[in-house]
Amino acid sequence: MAAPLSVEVEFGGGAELLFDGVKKHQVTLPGQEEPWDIRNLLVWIKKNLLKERPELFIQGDSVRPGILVLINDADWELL
Amino acid sequence: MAAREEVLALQAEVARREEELSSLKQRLAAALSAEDEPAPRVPVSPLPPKAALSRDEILRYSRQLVLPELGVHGQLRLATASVLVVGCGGLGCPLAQYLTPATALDLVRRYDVVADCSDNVPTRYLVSDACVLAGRPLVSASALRFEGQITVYHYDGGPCYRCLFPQPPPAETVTSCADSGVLGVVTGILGCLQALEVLKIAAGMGPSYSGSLLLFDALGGHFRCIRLRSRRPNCAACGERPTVTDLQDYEAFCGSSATDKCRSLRLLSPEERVSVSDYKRLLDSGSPHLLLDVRPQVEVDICRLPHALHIPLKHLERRDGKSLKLLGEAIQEGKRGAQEGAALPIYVICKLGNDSQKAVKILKSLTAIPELGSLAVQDVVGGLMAWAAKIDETFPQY
Repeated sequence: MAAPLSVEVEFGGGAELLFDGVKKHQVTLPGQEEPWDIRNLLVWIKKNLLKERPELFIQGDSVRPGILVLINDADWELL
Repeated sequence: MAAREEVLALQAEVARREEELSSLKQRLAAALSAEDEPAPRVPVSPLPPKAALSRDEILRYSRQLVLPELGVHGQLRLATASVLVVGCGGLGCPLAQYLTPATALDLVRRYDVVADCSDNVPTRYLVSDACVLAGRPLVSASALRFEGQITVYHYDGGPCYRCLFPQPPPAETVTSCADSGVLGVVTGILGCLQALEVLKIAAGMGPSYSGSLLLFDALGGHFRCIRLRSRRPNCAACGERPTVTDLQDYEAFCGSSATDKCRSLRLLSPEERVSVSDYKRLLDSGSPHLLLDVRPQVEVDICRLPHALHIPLKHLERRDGKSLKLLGEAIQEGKRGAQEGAALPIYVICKLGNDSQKAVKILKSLTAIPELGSLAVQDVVGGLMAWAAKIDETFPQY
């Protein structure tokens, strides 16, 4: 069981326009059975933060082409 | 005698001016004939190696010549380096529309370093693929709204644009500077950083942003540098078994045109639309109607038609209660002004005639305003920019 997790989610380069123009979101992810990873964080963001047109943000189980996912100061692909 | 001196001076002056005039006439004739002929394609030959700096060059570059990292050695390399700049800011960059793949590749091969300052996705793929095929480093920068990014592709084993973005973004998700805006000084800052990266590569100092991406947020005032993935072994362009072995049709690949201008949507049938000329005739006839401007507030602040009712498309999309009430009232009032039983057509207008089509679709589906069901709703083809181009030349274009 993973404990609730506090993370700062930031959108930029135009992606913030899908979130009412708000770039920084301080969020608390609820505790759940599986540990949190980026894939289920993306789903959580889609359900809880996304204001409009989910297809502009998510396609399949990842972000749509053209969006880079960064964790702290690194490309998600590096991790 | 003073008078005699004046005559001589005037004669000399006349002779001098006549000579100047004849030289100007010659230049004019040359310029006119050059205007008639297409400009000859001057091949860019490699710049000759340079052995030493001139006295003037030493004076001009003295402040950077004393930097040990650059020095005379670096400055001489700079003097012989050639840089291709793709995209002439502000003018947009329809490069992919005009250059056939072969000429684009030829062009890139003639330069040592390439800078991508273009404003659209097809051009970015074209320039990146051309740099990979020609083996040239690519300094790529972009700016939108208050943000900018810069990175260096295909340098010393680093990733290329396709390593980061194997698939183009869906065309409808791409925001352009024409749609979303960009602050001039932000492009200026990114252009300076880009010039710096080009200079370091050309002088042999090596770039800072190969395999990393600098993000600049002008509103928050921060720079942030991100470590990027390395070259992807299965990249279609720079991977071990590349499938991009020649340049292709990038507009087809991206499903969008190589400009930052808006695509024209076709959501409505011709019967659901009117031209700006038709709308002008209707306006002049004084026939009762309602003109609905659905642009965002910032654009309405730039310019508007004074008689239009303004309700942004966003408000219609989320069926905003206040906006629907406003629209309902405007329809009631329009009907009172019209003759008993006369129809009150609604015309929807926006900047270019895309959002107005979406708005017509929404208005036709609205059940909150019962009167709407019986009204003819059409949009104005080409929007206010067509109005500015064809009807009222004093109307601002933006």
